[in-house]
Amino acid sequence: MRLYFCSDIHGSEVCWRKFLAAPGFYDADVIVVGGDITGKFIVPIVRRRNGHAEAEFLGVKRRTSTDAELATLQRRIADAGQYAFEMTPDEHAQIARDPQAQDALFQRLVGERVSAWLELAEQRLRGTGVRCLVSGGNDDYFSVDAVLAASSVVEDPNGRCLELDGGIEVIGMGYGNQTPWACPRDIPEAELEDRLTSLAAELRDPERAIFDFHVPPYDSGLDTAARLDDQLRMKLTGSGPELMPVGSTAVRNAIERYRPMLSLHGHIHESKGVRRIGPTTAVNPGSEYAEGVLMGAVVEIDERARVDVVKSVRLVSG
Amino acid sequence: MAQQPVAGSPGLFVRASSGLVRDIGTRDTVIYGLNAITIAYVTFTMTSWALYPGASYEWSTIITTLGAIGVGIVYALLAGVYPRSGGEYVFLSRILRPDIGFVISFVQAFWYIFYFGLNGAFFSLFGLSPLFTTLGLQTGNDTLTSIGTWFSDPWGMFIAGTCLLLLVAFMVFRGMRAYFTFQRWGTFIGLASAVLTIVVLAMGAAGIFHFQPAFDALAGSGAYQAITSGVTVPAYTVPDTLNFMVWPAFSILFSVNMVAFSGEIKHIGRGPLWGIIGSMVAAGLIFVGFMFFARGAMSDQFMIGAVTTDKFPLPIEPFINSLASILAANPLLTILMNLWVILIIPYALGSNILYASRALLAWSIDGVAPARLSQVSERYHSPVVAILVVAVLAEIWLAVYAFTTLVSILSGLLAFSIAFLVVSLTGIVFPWLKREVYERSPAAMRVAGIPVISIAAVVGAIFSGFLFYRAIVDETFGASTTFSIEVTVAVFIVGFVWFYAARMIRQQQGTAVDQAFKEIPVE
Repeated sequence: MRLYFCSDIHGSEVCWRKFLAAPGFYDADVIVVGGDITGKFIVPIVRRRNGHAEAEFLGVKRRTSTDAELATLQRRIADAGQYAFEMTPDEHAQIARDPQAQDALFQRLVGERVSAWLELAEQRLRGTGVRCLVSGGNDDYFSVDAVLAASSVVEDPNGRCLELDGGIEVIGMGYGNQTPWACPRDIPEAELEDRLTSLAAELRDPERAIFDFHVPPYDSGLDTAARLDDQLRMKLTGSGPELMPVGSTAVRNAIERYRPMLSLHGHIHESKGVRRIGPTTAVNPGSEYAEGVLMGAVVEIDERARVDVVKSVRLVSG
Repeated sequence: MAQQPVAGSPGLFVRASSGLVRDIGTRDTVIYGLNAITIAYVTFTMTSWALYPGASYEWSTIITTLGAIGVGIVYALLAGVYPRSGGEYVFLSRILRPDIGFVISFVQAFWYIFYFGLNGAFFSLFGLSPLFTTLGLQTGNDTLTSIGTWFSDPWGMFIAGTCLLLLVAFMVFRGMRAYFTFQRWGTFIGLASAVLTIVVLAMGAAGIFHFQPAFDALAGSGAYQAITSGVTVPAYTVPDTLNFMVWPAFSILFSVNMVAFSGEIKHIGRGPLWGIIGSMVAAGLIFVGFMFFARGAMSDQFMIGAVTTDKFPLPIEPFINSLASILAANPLLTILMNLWVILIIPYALGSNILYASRALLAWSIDGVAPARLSQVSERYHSPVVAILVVAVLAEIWLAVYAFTTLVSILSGLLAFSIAFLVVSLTGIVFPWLKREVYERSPAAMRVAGIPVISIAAVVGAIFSGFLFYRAIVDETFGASTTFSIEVTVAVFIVGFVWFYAARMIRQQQGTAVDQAFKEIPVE
């Protein structure tokens, strides 16, 4: 069995399309997105009276004169994982002053994009025999779960146990340890540990299981991020940002206790790698969603084996 | 819940989500870039000027800074397009071809390993030797003088260089925290020491300190006059001034090693762009400041005569840290004014081993190098095998430099200039070759309808191309040697052979190396 894993595509339209093309490109039987599937930014496209539209996208002012140019700009914004939204200057000013209006707009745009993605998944994957696992991560609204649950081709392993070929079980966890940003699914380590313990209790054979946990294990080399100051500014050293481990101790404890064969993670975009924790192969493929690059891991699994089930892990950027 | 943007574009709406960091301030990125430039190389840059009659050091440095800024803008903008790329390896692989990306990375890693070894010798030759010798002369302590001269001997360079090389490798192995702590203090003290040296030279130029009596007090009455007599200072010419650029370029260009620090709310001007440009300008000013005040304090005749005649009577090389120490005529100031070389050169070693070991790690992860190279210490999370390989190879280069005349200070410039040329040429065509990637990137800036990256890249390509030419033909002060040129060519060939051999081996194992970078086609 060949499994393709990626994570943290954060609303990138082109990354989702690449993900759906991954079974053909990498000859994968199972494809998995490990959380954080929704975007973080809305780019207001302000319509002017002369028919022109203006937006500031990735720090560069963009101006369109025709519908075709506007459509191109909207596509580029979507490919970078952001949500383009047309509005008048007055509407922009009003929404900018009102956090609740922004929140409602986010909920709406996030829901619309996830729904559109699932429709595309239906078209691309139905009848192919490919198993497609997608779950929310710590950045994703809880409302995303209900949208995913409505799909007939996408399975959400978040908080439950799924079974793949050869009796290999997968458990998923979108909750993560607390971050400085108070994200929707940030919880204290103790609570995360309780959730992982009760979830792992569902496994028949933990040592042949796959953990699909969004946050990486603490101090594993898969969780290295920039140390931040009080202003959420990176602390700089003479060789770049000062780095520190930011993963979850609860996740690390779960891996060390249940010793699964494979542990899949995302969350820390800049900390890609493959590590061994005891008998467990732990993977974080990293993320470059904003550049439209789909970072992933191709995992060869011998589902008939009792030992050495994970044959190889190859990191790819597609 | 939505929140106010923490940085970046006005009007952008942002929701609570992880990773939204503020950009690092411009001042911090400038200091970082200044570190990467290794201003300690002023020592041999100023000495080598004496061998380019007719070159204006100041104008050469200014032109170098402008050319380097062209290359720097290309790097900064490409880093903005591929912010987590790790430099040339990935963005050249993605924009051009995987084999080109690998070969440029291979060449750069090879020469960074080379300089990891040579910088150990530089630490001894340009840092420890001037400090101890000058102190010995000033205090009349022959033991200190002997120690100082020993540090400029082959065995002195080799042993002191080995100690530093092992220390830096060990600190990088132990984890970056220990290294950063050392480096942070070293940076502040080193920069303060460099500023102190410039101030002392300025005081000499202003007539507060007097170089001639101070020099004669150590070297004997009339020694200054003996050196300057008969030395003529030729008028500046444009060709000589341009030819000298290889020396300041060897330092100033390396600010481009700054990785991208921008967060997810991109505003490229606040990231590496101003850091690279600002640090290049600051370094240029420091280089010019050293020379301008040194001329005033010691005279052009003395600086040329000390290098080009055999009348320099002291058992030290006429490096600027030694000469400034003689000018101040104070042992405490001598110690303080040699710290910038002693503390900044170890930073260069750190940068060398970090670049090279990370490159080896990246190749291994991508399957174009043995898997063992990506073996990471469980305790310190550092790539232990890669660090070991880099240290052993660097030690060999250190021995070659210390005990033979096969290689010289600028031996790697030819290879680096080719790498900068390839990156600049890539920058010229990038907006057209990868139009969609360019247009949706923060680098999509234009002047008069022409992409800024292409304009900067044209400047960078001309500058890098000229350096490439000079690195081949310039035989002054060992700027190039036949051995260096042969090694440069051989490394490129080995890089290509390595890539295709690795690809063949992996294909036999059932792994397609090309697929590691191949973009998934979408409908």
